[in-house]
Amino acid sequence: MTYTLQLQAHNAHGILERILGVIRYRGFEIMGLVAHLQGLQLAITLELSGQNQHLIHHLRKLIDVQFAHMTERVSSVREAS
Amino acid sequence: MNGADAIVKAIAQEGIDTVFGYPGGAIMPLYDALLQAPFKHILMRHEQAAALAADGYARVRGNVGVCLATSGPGATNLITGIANAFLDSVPMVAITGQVATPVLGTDAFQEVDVFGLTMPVVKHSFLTKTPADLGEALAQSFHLARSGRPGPVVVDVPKDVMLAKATSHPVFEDTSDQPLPDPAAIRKANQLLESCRRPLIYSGGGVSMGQALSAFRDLVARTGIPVVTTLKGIGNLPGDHPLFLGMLGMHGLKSANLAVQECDLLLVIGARFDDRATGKLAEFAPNAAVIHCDVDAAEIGKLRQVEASLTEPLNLTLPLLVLDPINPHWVNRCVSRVHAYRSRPQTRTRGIYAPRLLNNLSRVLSPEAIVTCDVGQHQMWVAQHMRFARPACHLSSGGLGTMGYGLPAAIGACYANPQAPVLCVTGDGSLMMNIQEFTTIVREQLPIKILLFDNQSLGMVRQWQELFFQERFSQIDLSDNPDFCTVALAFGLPAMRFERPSQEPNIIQAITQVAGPLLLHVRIDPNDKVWPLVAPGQPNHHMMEGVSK
Repeated sequence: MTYTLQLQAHNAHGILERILGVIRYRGFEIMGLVAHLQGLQLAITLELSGQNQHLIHHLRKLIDVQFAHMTERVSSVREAS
Repeated sequence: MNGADAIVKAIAQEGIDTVFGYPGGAIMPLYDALLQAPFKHILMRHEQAAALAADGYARVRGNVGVCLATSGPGATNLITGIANAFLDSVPMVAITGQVATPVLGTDAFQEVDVFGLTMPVVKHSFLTKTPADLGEALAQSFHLARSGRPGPVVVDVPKDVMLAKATSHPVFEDTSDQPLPDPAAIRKANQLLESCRRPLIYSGGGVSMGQALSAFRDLVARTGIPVVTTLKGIGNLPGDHPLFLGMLGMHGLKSANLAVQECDLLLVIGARFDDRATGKLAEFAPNAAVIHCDVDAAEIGKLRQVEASLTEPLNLTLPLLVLDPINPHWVNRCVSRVHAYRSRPQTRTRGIYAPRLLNNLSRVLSPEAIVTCDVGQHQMWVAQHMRFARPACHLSSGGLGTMGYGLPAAIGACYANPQAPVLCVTGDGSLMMNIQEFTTIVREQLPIKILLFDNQSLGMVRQWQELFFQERFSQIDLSDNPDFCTVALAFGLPAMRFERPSQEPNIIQAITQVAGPLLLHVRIDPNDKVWPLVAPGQPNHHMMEGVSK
């Protein structure tokens, strides 16, 4: 299933790299990324077998992350049907 | 006041009386400022040792450990020590010099991306490109290192920022409210405690790193629940406490592992289901409901699903847990096995036998003594055969398993508690990883006793190759070791050599009675092994209990 990871963070030095590093180290592949760099807001697409609170908790541990939330994304195929 | 002065001031304000480091080009302004510092700087002989000494200092003192290094290779040498602190949740601030801001990113001399290199092994990090950045970093870094789940913080400071006029920045004061325990979670935990018949506490390093030793011991006293510990949790209960069943896991005591497998409620306190503790995870504590108390919410459910979790500080949650009365039959069953399975040092006479020696030594060492370990067989023998009054008396590299930890950690421990006797137990492989610190010990005349078990091989690797790789020994022969006593004497470090079992009392006497630093070189048989052992992939109740050849 496809999930969207929504993140908001202080735009501190290296924060994007930090977030991406946690996702990589914890074993996830990023399928898509939309970033608004002003008051850093990210929408990251991940392929997962289910909700992963584990990843959310690790991202929330980053000092500059203010908000991390994951939602299931309705695929375009389902949208079309 | 320039940036370097501000760094000195910030360290002093934290009540830190000793830092460890090594100078170089980019950090010279800070070393100039150190000449007026109200705290000591200990010149180590390798930056890795500086970080590991700061780690030892932090664990014993219960405060942040500070290490300093210059840019480039100085900073990269720190990284193993920073990673060690990260894996063991040790509060540390590592301050690195960096090339000046005008040449940042130009591959300048001794420039390396310290901020990027350390990112995966820090709790947080700063690259301070302006005096204002430095002020903010100094205001926050110590608080970040020690708050919540402690860990290392890197502050990378370009040389020109150290020389620039400092901007004042108020020291960070945590005005946020203490998180209060969730009443529903406490109620759920207490319901589980009330309904269980065979409760067990599995405790780890989080107890001491969370400054919750009193709350933990009070919980044990109130409830009477038996306790097993991880390697880092050794000392959560005194080694001779009647409810202490021993260390669990790969080289744990059988009484501890069997209790885990039989319990119906596992109260996990400041531990994280590490693979060395759990063995085959799917068969770990198979009958138990789990209550997990850990200040790091990311540890909850990471490896084991739980029935209840408490993520507020242990000092707040543990006093709210209630169990009355405990099932005496279960306690008796657990406790009676401790004596039956307590590691029995073999009585064979061929050569000095390290487990027996450590067992006997532990009986006469001061309860205040601090024992640091390196990594390998001797580390497990210390964990199995010595008893400790408090976690801060047993310094061992648990998560990262850093060979070379013991000697610098002993140096840090000496400064953190100058009154305590300090013993470093090491092996011939590990000692060579940071043997240059003999110089530091001699220069500072630190009364560290270094108990070196020399089996002329990488003993733990050899043991695994013998047991699990059909005796195909590969690259474990260290028979070309130098003569360690001669090496020690060349550094000005007194040394004694021991080879016969009849000398074991002399070794103990030298450790407890000789003043000043001393190397005790002890030859042991390379066939000696660490028993018991849970083979990789096996559940913890399948323990191999062999005998040495």
